[in-house]
Formats: sequence, C-alpha cells, structure tokens
Amino acid sequence: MTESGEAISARSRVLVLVIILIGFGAGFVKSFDRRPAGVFQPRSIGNAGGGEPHFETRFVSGGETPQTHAPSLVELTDGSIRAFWFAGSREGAKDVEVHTAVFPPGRGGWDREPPAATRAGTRKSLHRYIRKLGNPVAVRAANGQIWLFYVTVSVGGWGGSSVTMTTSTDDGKTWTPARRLIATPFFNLSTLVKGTPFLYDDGTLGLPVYHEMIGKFGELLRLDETGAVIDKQRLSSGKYSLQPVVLALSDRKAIALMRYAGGRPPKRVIRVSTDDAGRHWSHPEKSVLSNPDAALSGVVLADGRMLVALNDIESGREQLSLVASRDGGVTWRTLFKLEDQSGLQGRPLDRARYLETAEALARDSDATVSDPAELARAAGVQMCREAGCGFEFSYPYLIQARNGEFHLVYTWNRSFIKHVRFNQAWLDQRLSEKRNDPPH
Amino acid sequence: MTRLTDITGLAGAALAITASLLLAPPVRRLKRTHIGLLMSVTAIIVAAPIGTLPLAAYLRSCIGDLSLTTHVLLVIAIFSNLSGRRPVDERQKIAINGLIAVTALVFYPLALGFGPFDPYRLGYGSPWFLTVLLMLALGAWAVRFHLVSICIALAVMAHAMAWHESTNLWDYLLDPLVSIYALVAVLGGGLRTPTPPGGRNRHELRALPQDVVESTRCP
Repeated sequence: MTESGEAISARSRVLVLVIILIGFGAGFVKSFDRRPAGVFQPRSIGNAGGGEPHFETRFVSGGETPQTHAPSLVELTDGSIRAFWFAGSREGAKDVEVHTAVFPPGRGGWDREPPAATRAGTRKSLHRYIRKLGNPVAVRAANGQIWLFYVTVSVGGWGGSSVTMTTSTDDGKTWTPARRLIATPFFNLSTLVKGTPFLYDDGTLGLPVYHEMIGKFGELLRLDETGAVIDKQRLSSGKYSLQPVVLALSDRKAIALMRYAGGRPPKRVIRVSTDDAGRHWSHPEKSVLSNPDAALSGVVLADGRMLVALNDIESGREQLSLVASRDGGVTWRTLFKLEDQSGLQGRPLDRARYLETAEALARDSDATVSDPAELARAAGVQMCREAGCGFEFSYPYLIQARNGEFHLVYTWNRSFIKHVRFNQAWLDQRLSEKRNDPPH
Repeated sequence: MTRLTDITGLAGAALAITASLLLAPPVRRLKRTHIGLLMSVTAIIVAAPIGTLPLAAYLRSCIGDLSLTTHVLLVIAIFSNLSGRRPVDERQKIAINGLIAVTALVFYPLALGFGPFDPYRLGYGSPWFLTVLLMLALGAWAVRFHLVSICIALAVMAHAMAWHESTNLWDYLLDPLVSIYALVAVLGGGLRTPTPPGGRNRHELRALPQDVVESTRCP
C-alpha cells in the first residue's frame, strides 16, 4: 500500500470508530431511559351490591350491514359505554369498517355513530395499502384518552395481520390519524388483538395480542404513554393458543386464559399464571374450562373472584355461559347460560325451524325490536348453508363499569351485536344459588 | 398528517425499487450516466402519489420498513454502479452476508414462535443486547470488517433516533429481504467453483448484481 493509501485507510478506520462510538453512545443513552417493569393495577371497583337484581339484554347493532363480529367495550367519562365492532358485507370484505355506538346511562338504548375506522381512512393515515379491517379493542389509557386498536391486513388473510392504533381525546367522537404498531420482525405480519387491554401501575398499557401465521400463540405488548411499544412478552408458543385475556388478581398475581386452537382433545382453555407481575409466566396448560376454539372474556371482581364469559363446550358456538372462579381460576362454576342452543348437538336445522327459533330468540333478546322476523332472516343469511342452519353466539367482551354494573357484548349469529347488562345484586344471586351441576 | 417515519419508510421502499433496476440485464448494459438518469426518474415516479398512495407505499405495505443494513447495502450497490468504484471488498461482503445469514437462521424461527424464547424482545432496549452488539462492532472494526461495524452502528443510531416506526432494534439491524439475499449469497458462495486469481465466476456474479453491472457495462 502506498503512503497516501495508508493515510486514507487510517482515516477511514478512525471515521468508522467515530461512527461506532456515536451510534452506541446514542443507543446506550436511549437504553438508560428504558422503563422498569411495572406491576399490575387490579381494578378497584367496590362491591356495588344492594338494590334489586337487574339483568337486561338488547341489540347494539341494527342490521346496517349483513355481517357483524368481534365487539368490544370501553366506559366513557360520563359513565356511558361505547361499543366497537367490525361490520360489512362479510368478514374480510373491502367494505368492512369499525362501527361504534354509545349506551348512555339511563337512556336504555344504543346510539349508533359514524364508523370509528374505515379502510380508506386507515390507508391514508398509514401510507400503506390496506386490504381489510378486523377485530377492534378499546381502552382508556392513563392519560385519559381512549385508545382503539384494530386489526388491519395489507396482504393475505388474517395471518398477515398487523395492529393499528388510533386515539381519541373526546371519548370517541373524533379520532387521530391511525398509526401502525410494529410487533414482529417478519414484515410485521401476524399480530392480532382480541383480549381486553389493561393498565400497569406506572401508566403503561398491557395489550394482549396473538399470532396465527406459522404458530398460534399469545403475547403481551407493553405500550408507554405515547403508545410506543416498549416491551413484548411471550405467553405461549407452538400452534394451539390464541386471544389471551389477562386477569390480574393483585399487583403481582395474574392468570392469562387463551382460546384453544389445537386439535388434541380434550379441548380446554389454555391457562398461564404469574406471581411476579408478569416477569415470568408459567408453562401453558389446559384448564378445566371447555373451549371449542373460540374467544373468551373476563373480569376480576373486587373480592378476587373471576367472572368469565365463554363458549363452555368443546365444539360449536351455540352455547355461551358465564362462569366464575373463587380460587384464582383453578376451578370454575357455571353461573348462567346466556345462550343455549346446545340441544341441537351440532345438527343443522332446516331453514324454517331456524327462522322460527331465531325470531323467538330475537324477541327475547330485545323487547324494542319491531320486527324480530327480519332479524331472524338476517341471521339466516349468515348462518344457513345448504346442509342447514346453525347458531353462533361468540366473541364475548366483558367489562365492569365504575358504578359496578357489568356490560357484556357478543356476536349474535354473525349478524348482530348483543348487549347484556347486569348488576352486582344479580350476580350475587347467581353466585349464591345452590346448583346441582358440579363445579368444573 | 405525514410523520417523519412515513417519509423515511417510503424513502426506503423507493430506494429498494430504484436499486432493483440494477438487476435488470438491459439496464446493466446502459452507460453509467444513463443508469443514473433512469434511477433518478424511477425514484421520482415511485415516490409520487398515484391515486391515493405512491407506488413505494404499496411495496412498503408488503415488506414494511427496510433495515439500516439493507439501506447501507443498497446505497453501496448504487454507488458502485454509478461511480465504477468498489468501496467494499469481497472479504467485507462475505463477512456481512455470513453474519446476516447465520443470525437470520437462528433469529427468525425463534422470533416467529418456535419455542418460548423470543429474541425479538431483546430489541426493546436491552442493555445486554446493546453491549453484545458493541462488542461485535468493535471486534469487526479490529479485524477490519468495517462494513459490519458501520451497519451495526448506524442501526443502533437510527433506532435511538426513532428513524422508523418500529421501536425494536432488531428491525433496524435485519429484515427478511436482506436475510434472504445473504442466505442466497452464502449458499451461492459455498457452491461455487474455485475462483481463478483475479477473476469472478458465474455464481458470484449472480449474488452481487452491482459487480455484474460493472463487468458487463459497455465501454
């Protein structure tokens, strides 16, 4: 090498070293700002017992679109409840939007509002092509905003999903431009939401997510106050668990329940637990709760009991139950069957009988429905095939409001969103009932 | 509202589309000035909105944001072809391709759910991960694998600056496209026949398109 070549080489080496030092200097400064692990913040809603037992049901959606699915709820500052769900001509269609409606206190009915998210709006905000929208979940963040997370797909099926986020400072009347959460290293593919987000004590947010591309497993994202992903933790691995729901018993103890997506009987809800605020989670195991590869939802009561809504059967989704546990999710007792068409035992109904049954169910579900036969026909469009018709009551989402009331929404025959509202007195009545069926 | 991370992400996708022109044999036969002109026009076209989105946005929809490593390699490829100079020697290329390929083979299966350990989690600001990367960058610098050092250091710097949407350092170090490229290059290199002194063989040319252009360009 010539003298001048050596000089250039020496200068290059110094320059590379300077780049290394500057790069890692910036990196370590950022690393020092890393948030320490938080602890859970169990909801401290007191036992609003007393009063008369109260239980009522109604429909949230009004049949504006042929198909509706995957509802979620969030409580607003004035005590109203806002629901979100996706709706369109069919699941995965380009016209699917995230719909929303508000249930004001004392009003006794739902006010439907313009969509919270659309494909075109999301595409514009994200500067990306968006093929379809999916599951929405909402939460009130520590800063008082409502954060809405929803599934978006640019390429392929649900396995190609990513999570998109938008926020609202006015309880959901208006929304900021959407932004993408990056949660996997492989083209950011295959992250979906379904389970209820929750707060840690330091104001960061836990967002249960799941993957269903190569594996089927649950994870937990942790987001800071700006909505940036600051940590991610695996709850399970393999190909058999989806849609985690985290139920915090104390600041350190929690369990996560997951939909069983495996094929090996017995088909049971997958359960993991932690005693150290989620730093470590136990090995996934099958719980005693049956699960037909369907979503579930739950809350923890002030006294530590757990209340879960799920399809407590091993196949089909024609039965939806409320179950409770007094021992941290080890054993469960069925409190109430919200829907029960299990007498069919998976056999399809002929169309005429289906319409008759669905009409009766619609009438029982909502006394304000003027034409239950129309609801039955709409359900029939979704639920009838050549071989016959079936029922589906699925994707429950359960919250407890600050006044102690419980609100549950779920997909009713893929065509409507049904709302169930009950109070602590009603729940206490169910809990105190002597039932013949043994605990699970 | 367009965020900075949208601009950087779209710019990365536009860079990838522009650089991919170098893979086309007819382009390789053009003069350097014509290649430069063609790439400039292409960059403008793919960055300009067509309908509601620019073409680069469609690519970004599919592949996400490119890692800093990919950016560096694409810039080197373009520079090589437009200037006729080779800023990086063969040894450096083998080192970076080998490192990327080995890392990708271990990293992606684990990160995609093969087992309970998720290495992707390390990318959320683990000081231990940063320390390992620093050791790697300094080690590469010591043995004069400067390309490895630069790619790692720029990735760490870009992550600290929140250059992309991702808050995970891995997304700045590695992406599936550069991993596939590196794996192909390593496998191609492993299969190739011994190279005559001063010469290049068919497999090497396929793996390194920027060199192909140089060797096949019309005078």
